[in-house]
Amino acid sequence: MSTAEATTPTDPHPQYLHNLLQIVHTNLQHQADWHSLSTHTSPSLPRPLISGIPPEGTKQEWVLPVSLREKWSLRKWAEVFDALPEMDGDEGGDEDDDGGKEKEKEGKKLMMGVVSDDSTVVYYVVGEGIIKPKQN
Amino acid sequence: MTTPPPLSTAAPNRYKKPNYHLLHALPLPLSVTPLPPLIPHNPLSLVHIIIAYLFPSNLSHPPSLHRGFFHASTRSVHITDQETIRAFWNHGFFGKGNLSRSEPTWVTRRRRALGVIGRDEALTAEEVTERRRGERKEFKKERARLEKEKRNRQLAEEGKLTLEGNEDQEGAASASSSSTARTVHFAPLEPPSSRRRSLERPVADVEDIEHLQLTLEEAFFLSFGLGVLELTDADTNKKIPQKDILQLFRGHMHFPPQSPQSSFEPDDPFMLSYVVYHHFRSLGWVVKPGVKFAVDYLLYNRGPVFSHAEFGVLILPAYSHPHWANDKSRKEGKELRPWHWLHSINRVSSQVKKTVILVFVEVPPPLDDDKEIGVVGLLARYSVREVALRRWLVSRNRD
Repeated sequence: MSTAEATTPTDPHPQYLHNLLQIVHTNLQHQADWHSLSTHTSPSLPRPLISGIPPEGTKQEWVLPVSLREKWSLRKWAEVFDALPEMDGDEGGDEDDDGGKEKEKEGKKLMMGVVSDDSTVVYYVVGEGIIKPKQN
Repeated sequence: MTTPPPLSTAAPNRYKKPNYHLLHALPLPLSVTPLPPLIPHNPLSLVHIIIAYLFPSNLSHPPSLHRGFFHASTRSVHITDQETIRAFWNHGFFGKGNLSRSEPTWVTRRRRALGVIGRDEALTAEEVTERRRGERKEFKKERARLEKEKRNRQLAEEGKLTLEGNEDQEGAASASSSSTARTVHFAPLEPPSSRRRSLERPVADVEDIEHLQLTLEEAFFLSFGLGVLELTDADTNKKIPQKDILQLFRGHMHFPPQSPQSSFEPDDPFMLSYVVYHHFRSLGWVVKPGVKFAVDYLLYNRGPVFSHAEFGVLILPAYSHPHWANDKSRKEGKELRPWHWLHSINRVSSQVKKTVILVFVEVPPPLDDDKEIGVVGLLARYSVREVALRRWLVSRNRD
């Protein structure tokens, strides 16, 4: 079936992942009103990703499209987080060296867009490492 | 004469809702005419019934069937014809607008954002909810500000805070917060990005890019169960014959999708899912996907516009048939679930006041050739058992 074949050597991701990418991209653009959206399909990434800025935000966020029917695992998360470029430390306060480095490792986060068959996309914020809970 | 006690009236409904009882009068996209009554002592009534049965005055099905497009890319059926969208949504709540919360409303919201229609014209359910939440947030901010002022005044009286410095701060704080409160009350509740967009582009009419999306189970129910939907493949633009639909859907329910020619197991996801969907739909429930509540399906009494879903359905395969007795991967793999799985799902459901229903689907043994038996025969081999679940607490549940 054509949906299972890879596309080109510069873009090794199979067609069904591209379809997911397209669904989440449309959802973010027209339903969630994100702007500056761009897709990333380079071979260095384990899966295609989307980056964009939410309507009331200023910083760029990463979005990982996933299907509800997939079997997801910790390894897949680790692969995606490793492939993400380092976050630029624009957290204002901390200028110390060791504080800044630790924050960079902890600070990587992305949004998982889980696509359901009825076109609902449910978003979850996923962070690498321990995230301190927000003050109540 | 005593004055009547003040009645607690609900806040006046500022947002006019359409008459849902009129709009959603039909439960399915079919028109049903009852047969005339049988009068035992009048033999002519029997003739009347036979004539009404053989030559009905109005047909149950529309003269030309509704058309839907099967897209392999989204693994669903898209409906783009406005009449069909109205028919499917209004009569049975089938499908979901792919850019909306439930009913397709994208074009109305976009027109409002661009300024083509007025701020309060034809409000959609999502916008009503958004505005209500915005108003509640403002109310909470105002209340917090008043409480803070009151507390500061109290502390100042007790002499714990100096009044001078506080008054300046307070004055500035109250001026800024009241000014923000005032500006927010009068400013339109649009996201800033859409305001930006409305300044850039001229006011022109908007092309509708949204479609109604039916899940594979809904599409199968409409085409096989009710017979009101015809499916066309979006890639080849050719009609999909009725006998091929089941295999196509079974293949696409897997991720990554499998070819329709492969042989499928009797417990593949589409069969289990469809059996449950068909079961509840034929009992009169409105069945919608429940991904937002961590369940497989949500059951509505009449529909999402009338009341919230009372039940969340979880589908579980049951392998009681002796054929599966030695199948370890199924008996121990697919049948068993850890305790925390059920516990967390039940917690989520009880937070939103829903009851979890575990639906056990008895999986039949595989057939040698399931193409001969036909879809009706295939479905008849499954049976469904429901178990309703409620968490019981010794201290709380006395009855």
